[in-house]
Amino acid sequence: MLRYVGRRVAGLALVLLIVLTLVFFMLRAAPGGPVDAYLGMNPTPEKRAEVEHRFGLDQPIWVQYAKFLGNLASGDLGNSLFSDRPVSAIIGERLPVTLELSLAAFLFWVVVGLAAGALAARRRDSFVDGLVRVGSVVALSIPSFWLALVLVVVFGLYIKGVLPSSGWVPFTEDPWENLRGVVLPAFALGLGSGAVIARTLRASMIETTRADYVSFARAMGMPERRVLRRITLRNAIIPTATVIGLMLGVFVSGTVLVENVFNIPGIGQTIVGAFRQHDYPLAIACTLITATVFLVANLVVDLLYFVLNPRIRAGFLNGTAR
Amino acid sequence: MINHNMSTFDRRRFLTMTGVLTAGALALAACGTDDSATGGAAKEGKKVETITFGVVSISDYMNPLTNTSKRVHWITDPVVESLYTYDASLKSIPLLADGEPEISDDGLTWTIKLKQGVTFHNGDPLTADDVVASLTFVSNPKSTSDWTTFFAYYVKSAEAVDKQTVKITLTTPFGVLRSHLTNLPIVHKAFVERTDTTMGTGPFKVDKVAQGRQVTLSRNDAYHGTKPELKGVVFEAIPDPATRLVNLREGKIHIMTDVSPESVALLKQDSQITVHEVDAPSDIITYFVANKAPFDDVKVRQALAYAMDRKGVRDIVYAGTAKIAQGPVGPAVEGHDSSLQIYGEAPDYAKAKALLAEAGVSSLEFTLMVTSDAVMKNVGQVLAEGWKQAGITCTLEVLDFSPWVKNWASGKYQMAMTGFESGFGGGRTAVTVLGPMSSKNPLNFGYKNDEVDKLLGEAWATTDDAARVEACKKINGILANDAIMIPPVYPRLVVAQRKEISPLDEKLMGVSRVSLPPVHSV
Amino acid sequence: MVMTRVLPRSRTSRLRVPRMSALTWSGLVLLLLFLLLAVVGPLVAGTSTARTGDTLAAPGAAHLFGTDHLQRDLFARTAEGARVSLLVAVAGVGFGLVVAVPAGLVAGYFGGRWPDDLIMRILEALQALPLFVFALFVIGVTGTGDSQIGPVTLTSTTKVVLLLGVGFIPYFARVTRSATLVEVQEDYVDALRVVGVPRWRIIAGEILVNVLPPVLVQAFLWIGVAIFAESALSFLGLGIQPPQPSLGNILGDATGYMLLGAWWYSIIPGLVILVATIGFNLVGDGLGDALDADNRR
Repeated sequence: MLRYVGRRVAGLALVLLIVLTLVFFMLRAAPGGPVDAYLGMNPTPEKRAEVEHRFGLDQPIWVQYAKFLGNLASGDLGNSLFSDRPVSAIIGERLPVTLELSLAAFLFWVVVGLAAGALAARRRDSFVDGLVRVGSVVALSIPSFWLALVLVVVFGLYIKGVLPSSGWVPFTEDPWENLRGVVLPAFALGLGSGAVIARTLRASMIETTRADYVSFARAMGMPERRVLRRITLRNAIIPTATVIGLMLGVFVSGTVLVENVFNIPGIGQTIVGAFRQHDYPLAIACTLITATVFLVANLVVDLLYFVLNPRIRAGFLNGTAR
Repeated sequence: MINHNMSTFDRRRFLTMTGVLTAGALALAACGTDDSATGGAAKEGKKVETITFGVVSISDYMNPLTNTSKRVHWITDPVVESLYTYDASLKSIPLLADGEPEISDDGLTWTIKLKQGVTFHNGDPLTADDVVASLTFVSNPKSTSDWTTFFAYYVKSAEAVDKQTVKITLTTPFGVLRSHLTNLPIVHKAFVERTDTTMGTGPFKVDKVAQGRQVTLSRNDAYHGTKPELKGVVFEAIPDPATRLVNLREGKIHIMTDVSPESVALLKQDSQITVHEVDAPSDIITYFVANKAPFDDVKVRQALAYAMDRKGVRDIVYAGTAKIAQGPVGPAVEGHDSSLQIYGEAPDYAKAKALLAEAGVSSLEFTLMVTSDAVMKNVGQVLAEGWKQAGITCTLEVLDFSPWVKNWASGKYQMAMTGFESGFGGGRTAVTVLGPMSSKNPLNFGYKNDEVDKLLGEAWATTDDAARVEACKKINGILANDAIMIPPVYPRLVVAQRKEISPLDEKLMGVSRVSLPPVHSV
Repeated sequence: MVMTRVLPRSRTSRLRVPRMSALTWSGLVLLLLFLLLAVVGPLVAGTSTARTGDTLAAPGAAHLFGTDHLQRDLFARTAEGARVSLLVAVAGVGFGLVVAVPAGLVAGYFGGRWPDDLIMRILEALQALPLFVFALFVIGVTGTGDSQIGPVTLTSTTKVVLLLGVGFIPYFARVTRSATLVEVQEDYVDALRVVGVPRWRIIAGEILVNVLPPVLVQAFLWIGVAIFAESALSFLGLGIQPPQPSLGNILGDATGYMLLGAWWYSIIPGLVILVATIGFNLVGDGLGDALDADNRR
């Protein structure tokens, strides 16, 4: 078990390195660089040379890459090319905002999704089931950016004073306002994921009810409620856990769309700006953060498999099955 | 004269539509909590002491000496001042300078005395050293500053004669410098190369900078001029245009910049909001690669200019708020010629076809490279559709700013277009618009016209404003005839504000500036 | 019937026309509606870029779906957009499958050993990069217009297809891999191995045939997701480029006009996306159920 965990953590580090390397070279291969963004409509050869030198782009790409790796190893992510502030400071400001937003969306929609999924599975083919099935597909098909804008318009112009339509108040400044401000973006951010959770849980619960051991438990006279709670739910939670884990990864790209509309100063707005302006250090740092969140969530899900299902553990350790 | 109104049919339609919406909004608002008069920003009471601007974006670097874009200058304008400034009629008058510059007979030496008793926000007195530091920075061609366009190679050196006197030595007579000194901010010498904040002598000082997101200014109580009534100003970046619009209507912000043209009619219906539409140095600039086929032939360019759907762009993209363009120089800039009338409002396809036939071009196909903002995307689509009617195939290439600049600067395009506001740097002069058409400028992309070169030299050298205007007018005419810079329309600067604060000065907006000291609560 | 040949060999039943639930039926109807719009719509409507002279006209007799901010007929644009979106989605999913299925087969066959590890790590790396980072790169490197790479012309549409495909590879590969893991445990695989059938033939022949049906059902579901993903890309300006319409870029343009009272402008493409997604989902679910029922028989 420990060996497996060790192997996975090493794998995670390797994947991160691959991702960062990819982004490093992809950014530099893209046409238009930070120098163009910086100089804008006033490019002259002199200025170009000056800025390239300042950004460290006048060196051969392999030297740049070696430097980047060296700095990375010592934990230095560099300074933003445009604001000249340490990238770590910028991330430090922005990341908590996105984390709070994601966490709120996560908690709310996991609860709603699980409840809806379980309810639908229990009353299969009933009205409630149909409602959940159709409702979840509809929820999946509503683009978050569109929903976000509808919410801004409705709460900004028509239902006034209930919830702030947009903007962000830091928690340290005014906790209550901060929490009120999270509601709408979190709702828009997690809707689709909530729907996926509901659908997955429903499907896998139905799947497990068909399993022999469930029929056996029923035949033995176990009450239906207990069958549901003890056996069905517990086994059905495994695929759902995968989906929940992946949800965190989805939130990263989700915040890109939602933060822009709600004007929330999180990592999503930063990442778009960084890539659009070709702010190399900032873009790479953003990638590092989002990729790490995704990979760790993935790893946790995989490890959860072990806790939840001993059979997988056995299969995995002897290297045959998953 | 050109008819600037949109066709009555369009206008009626549009108003009906927005009217329906507003009626619906009112009905809904009535069901809501209270009358929609006040919102978040006005919470602290009737009197507005701090006003909030909603802007598209705030630059990461807060130094007015590096950049002439509005992303920097809307914010730093109340903080920094120039040697000269615009009065209410846009005449240039001394501000930090004590009187007009003393110009030597050969026109190569300018001596400027500074006003006494002016202090920076940290209490340091304004000295000649500060002015020299600012001028030296922008005159160095290696400085990464937009201002070098206006000063580098012309200004040989700037030195302090004494604490209150600055001597500027020029390489050639350069009368337009008087105008440039009206625009160039003077910052504290220790802040010339700072990027995180700035320090000036203006009526407001920088309080708090949340980089790229929000900047808070507070009143400078030691200000040497008329003290502002407002206690503070907040600039907030709100990137999504719809969110910005909602924020203005709900009262979260008091002033909204970059109002999209199509929402002007809606905002005008709101009794709480005033919309300012001002002729300002805000251009659509167009470039051709003029030394490569097909656009090396003036007839081909002219054909394109005649077949250009200016009316479509004005009415559809700008909802009638823009003016039909002829030459590159717009109505708020020196050298604009309102009598110039080469191209009609509606496209002249017959003329275009005739010109193409004369040029021996049977089918014209080209790529138009535009920046990826909503307005330029719309302009591109309307133009392409218009040219299609003339049998000209225009393929759009929509690029982010950085790749657009890269392709443009390296001449890898056929026709390029983007929106550009030059007011903060050029003021009323046409330097940014016409400058690139000099055959010496590497960004002219193969255009060479001796007459233009000669007139440009005269225009920048003369100290006589009227002579400069005349020269620029001639250049504008030549460029329009040569169809080398053919903006479809002259867009206007559109700023919307809530009526809780006194109306902004539209005259000053004509040079892209907002004068905040007189703004007060009403 | 063609389907019988792809059926699991270890199971002998044939796929019968299953009893379809009401939901599947309604899904089928929605899907057909969408296909009708996407396939027939562009033929009957005029060109999608022509101006009608009416700015933001409401739906009515003259314009079934109204007009957009550049005076273009929204029926023509939505129909053409549906066609483009469908094309991009199907091609994107197809491209994803072509890469993902072999990868998943190999990973699954060697479950737990180094080829599996290697493939899984590469997939993780792909997944850890947000899709729009790829988008910024691909669109960035090659521009939004057509680009020529050797003898191949890459249109902006092809680029979006490639992007979506790359984004989907990890998901499809995972599905293939887990199905393969199960399949490898079956006795017939051991039997073939013992008889001396080469490894590649077991993978490419026997296992593939048995693994494909569940993977295809998943892929079908993902066509709906792809239509949706294209809209998010377009919203960021990285999808199908103007003046070519797609459901995504129509919706992206339309959001700005919601405030101006042009409700139809964003509702109509939104509804079409909804119809397509629901259609593909419900029918996909139905297909899955049918396959399931068949497996249990």
